[in-house]
Amino acid sequence: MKPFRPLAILFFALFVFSFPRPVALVKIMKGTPGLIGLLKASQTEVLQELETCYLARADRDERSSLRKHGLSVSVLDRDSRVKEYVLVRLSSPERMRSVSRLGRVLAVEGSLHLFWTDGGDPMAALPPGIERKPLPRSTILPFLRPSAYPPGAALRPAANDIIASFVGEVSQANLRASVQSLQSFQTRYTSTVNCEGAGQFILDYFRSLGLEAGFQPFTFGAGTATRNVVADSRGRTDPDEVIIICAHYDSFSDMPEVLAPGADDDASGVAAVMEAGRILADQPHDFTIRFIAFSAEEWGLYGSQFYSEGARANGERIIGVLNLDMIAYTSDMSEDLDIVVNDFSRWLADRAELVAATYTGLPVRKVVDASFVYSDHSPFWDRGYSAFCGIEDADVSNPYYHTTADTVDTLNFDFFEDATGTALAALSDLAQPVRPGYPRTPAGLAAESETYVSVFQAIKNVRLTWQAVSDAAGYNVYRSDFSRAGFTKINGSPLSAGVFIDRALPADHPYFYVVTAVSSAGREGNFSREVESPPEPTRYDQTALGGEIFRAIRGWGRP
Amino acid sequence: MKRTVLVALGMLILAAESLAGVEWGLSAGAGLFLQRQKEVGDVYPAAFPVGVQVWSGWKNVLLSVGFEYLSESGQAVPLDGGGEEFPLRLRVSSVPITLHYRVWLKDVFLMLGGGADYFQYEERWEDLDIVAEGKKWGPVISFLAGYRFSSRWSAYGGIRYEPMPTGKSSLLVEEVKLGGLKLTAGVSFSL
Repeated sequence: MKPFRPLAILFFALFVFSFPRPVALVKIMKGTPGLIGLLKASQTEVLQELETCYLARADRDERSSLRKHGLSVSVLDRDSRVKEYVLVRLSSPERMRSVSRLGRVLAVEGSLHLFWTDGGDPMAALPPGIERKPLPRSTILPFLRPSAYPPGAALRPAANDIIASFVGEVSQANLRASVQSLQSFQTRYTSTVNCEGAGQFILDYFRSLGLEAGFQPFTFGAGTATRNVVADSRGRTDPDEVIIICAHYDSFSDMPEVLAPGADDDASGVAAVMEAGRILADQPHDFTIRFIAFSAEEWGLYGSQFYSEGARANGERIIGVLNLDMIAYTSDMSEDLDIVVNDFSRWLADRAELVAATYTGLPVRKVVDASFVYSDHSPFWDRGYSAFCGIEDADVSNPYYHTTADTVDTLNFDFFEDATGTALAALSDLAQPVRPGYPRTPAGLAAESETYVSVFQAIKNVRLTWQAVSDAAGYNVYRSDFSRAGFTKINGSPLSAGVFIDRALPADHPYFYVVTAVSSAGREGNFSREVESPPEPTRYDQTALGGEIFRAIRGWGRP
Repeated sequence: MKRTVLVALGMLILAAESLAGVEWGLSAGAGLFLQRQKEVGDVYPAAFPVGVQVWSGWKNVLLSVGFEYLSESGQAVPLDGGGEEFPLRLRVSSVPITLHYRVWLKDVFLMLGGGADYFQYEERWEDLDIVAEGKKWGPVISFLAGYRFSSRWSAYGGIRYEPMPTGKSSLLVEEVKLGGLKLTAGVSFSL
């Protein structure tokens, strides 16, 4: 027997090590400088960003490696393989107790909890009406980017008469009529015929405005079919650049199959999107404005999840997403509009705040909270797009929320009009209305980078090209260290051709550029689309370059 | 650097004078890097360091302290096909301190030695305001052979391994080493 003992031990060891290693769901606390770079370097499977932490999958070795870099990593679930998780907001002990009976519940951050079951679909196990977001099934790591945007760097929009006139067109009567129409479907609970009817109503409305509109069908859960409604007002300069204004048209209540008027949640948001469509449908802008009414938000953000995944897969250039969810109820007249953003989207909230101050005077409260994940902006955050959620109160204060009493007569239409005007102004400001008397906006701005290296350092030349504008006497080039804000002019006198080389920049630093056209009268047009210089040059590939004779001499004995 | 050289020279002279029967001398030479990091060679294709040494010997053991200087011109390497030229200048000065063991075969001598090298470097983009500089210690190993053709004069040649690791990384290379395997030749004068 003795000769077989080592063999038996070997087989035993192979048997033990052949077990797949458990991959835990972990919480990685924020606060370490350069954290995103560390996560990218270690290829950590990040699933969700929250305000104070990231949720990720990591095996023992990966956890150990992250801890060696000084990160605080705690295990939430030892074995996350084949499991699905849902983020739920459990704000009361009763709700906590009721959900605990259905599966595993773990506090993650404040009222934010993680819910999962040991078998089956946790989304199906959850009772309806609980705010929820399924954790993405694939990593969001490629889309994580640190925000270099400093406070107060937002571009201060010059008051634009065109935008002011758009805001002046917002009609309380139209808003009321749209909410009333949506409410009249009795329920818009996704899976009901009425919900699909509401979708058709919205589509017909967009088409009546002359917008390019259509359904985006998808299925979710156990095969429930429904549709997003998507309508475009194509941009005149760079139609591939898109600004989205969106809301969800499905609703929920304590008897959702029968009656869920959802006037505030979220017929108000949809009515604002429809009103924006009415006002802007015929108005030329530089960039495309996309109006979207999502379905299945109440079931777990399925509509926006489907859309944003497709957008990222198709390489859509989305400048910003303005998600409106409950914008018409106020408890008193001094109400403000909460604009909720993650760190990466702060510029968008600052821009909305400035726009509100310029055009409507509505007080805006910026809330930076990456844990605010229960509306349709969140899947866009996951895909690396800037997005905000406009909401009357980030901590829901509407007593009729998710009840059959959420009806049009509970809404404050003065506030609703101002909130709609603010969203409309932000939308038009980002899409840039074409201004008569000003030169057209240069189209097709592109950036190429040439990197040069010495032994110790590297620089890059960024070559910018754009299409000539017929009525331009010259062009200006603007550069910023961060996206969407902080631009400063880098050329002296206006350039005569559609090309500019920004020379000898540090190679490892990203730069953002826009250009403008200047007329012979000295009037400067809108910013072009923004382009970024390639941020990470490739490492030297040791191609043979120069010094052939000396290399031949040096070559001998080289390992 | 100047202060370091003076201190080293002073120490050597004091050490030499304190020992009875010591010989000491001066030598001067030039070199050519035979083998270097390829990436460094791509930027700076030709490298001819020159230097002087003061040495002191007692029986078969010699201690030498030198000063070497290298000034090279080069061009930045385009990573993605760019056509612009950015001239570069690399200056390296070093103070190698080496202990040798010497063997005589009639008038021919062989020397094997090792020691340390304190070097200072500066790389400058000549058209731009970009400079990288640093100071560092590195190892030195040398093997020399020489011929004494008079009582005071001899000629020598050999190879020296002097990697000059800077401890810095760049897009070009993981760790920049400015030195390498060097062919040296020169003349020596016994005082």
